[in-house]
Amino acid sequence: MKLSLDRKTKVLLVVFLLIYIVVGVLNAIYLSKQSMGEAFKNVANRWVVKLPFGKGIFSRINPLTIFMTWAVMLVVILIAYRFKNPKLIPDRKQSALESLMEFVYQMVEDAIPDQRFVRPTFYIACTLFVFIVFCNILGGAIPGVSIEANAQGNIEKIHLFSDTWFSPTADINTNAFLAVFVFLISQVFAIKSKGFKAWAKTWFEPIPFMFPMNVIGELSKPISHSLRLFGNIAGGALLTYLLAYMAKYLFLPVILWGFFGLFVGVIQALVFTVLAIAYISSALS
Amino acid sequence: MRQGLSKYSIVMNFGVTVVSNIAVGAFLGYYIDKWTVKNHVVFVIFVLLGVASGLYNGFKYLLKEADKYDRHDKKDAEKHNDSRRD
Repeated sequence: MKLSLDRKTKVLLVVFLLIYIVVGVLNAIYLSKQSMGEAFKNVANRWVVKLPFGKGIFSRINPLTIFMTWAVMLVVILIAYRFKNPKLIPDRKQSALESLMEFVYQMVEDAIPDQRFVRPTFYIACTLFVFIVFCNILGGAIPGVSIEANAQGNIEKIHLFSDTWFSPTADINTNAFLAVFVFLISQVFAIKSKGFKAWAKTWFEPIPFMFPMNVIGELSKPISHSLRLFGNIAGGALLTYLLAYMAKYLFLPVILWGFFGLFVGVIQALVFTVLAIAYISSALS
Repeated sequence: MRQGLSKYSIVMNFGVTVVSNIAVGAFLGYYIDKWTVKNHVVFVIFVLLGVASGLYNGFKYLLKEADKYDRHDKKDAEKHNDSRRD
């Protein structure tokens, strides 16, 4: 394969590689001073802030999740703003976005039986996919600022570029919100599509005796939906951290980030989207 | 590649469905028990309901997937026949 790059891209690539190598060498020097027990002492602890109101688990938040969620939202909105007026002859970026949206639209059109709900479901599915892909790749493949906390949830140390960014989808709260949102939306669509009576009747099918099983089956959907994404992303971030420490950051990370960050991230975002479409379509049919 | 991955995901989904149904049954049972009668009968009943609903929903899912594969195979066979006729 022959690559033809223009001058600007070449300069950018060289600068990126130089920064990458310098940061990698600095990190290798810094990390080799720590002992292993010290480096892994606070793995998987989260920064926790207690709110003045609420009680129990409802008064605890992880501020990093909120910052990162807003940052990703900002980036997605900026991208959307840039492509607000689509060109008739698309350039490279626009056609990439268009083919992504067409892919999602095909899936939605195949799955949703009611024609009126194809477009709303498409908007939801596409938004979910773009948001989750950004979060996952940020958390799995891009080195950045992250915070190490002790078991009580206080800040112990701030890592600059020796770990990946904290991904919002590595926090169960984000995923639980998204899954519950999909669940509620599917029920609302079902009521709108079939009417209230027919919707209520679906809970008592095939025989009225099955009502509790149907309720448990429906309620278990958001749980499996959210835990799947959470487990994959949180586990991937952890593995990347552990293995990057062992490989001293510089020699293996492309494979690690390529697999745990890019591959698993995109696959899980796709799985989340496909499941959201499947749940909405199963509620509609 | 895509076929193999989706076969794998069917097995995964079946397991996850069963386990999450049991979890939801246990969760509901625990709290209903705690707020009402406070003996553990309701909890046990809900766990059993969770197991039943897990198997019910899991097998429903499996049957749906099998149906999809059958339809896919039929479509492929028709296409094959058409191409032979040409």
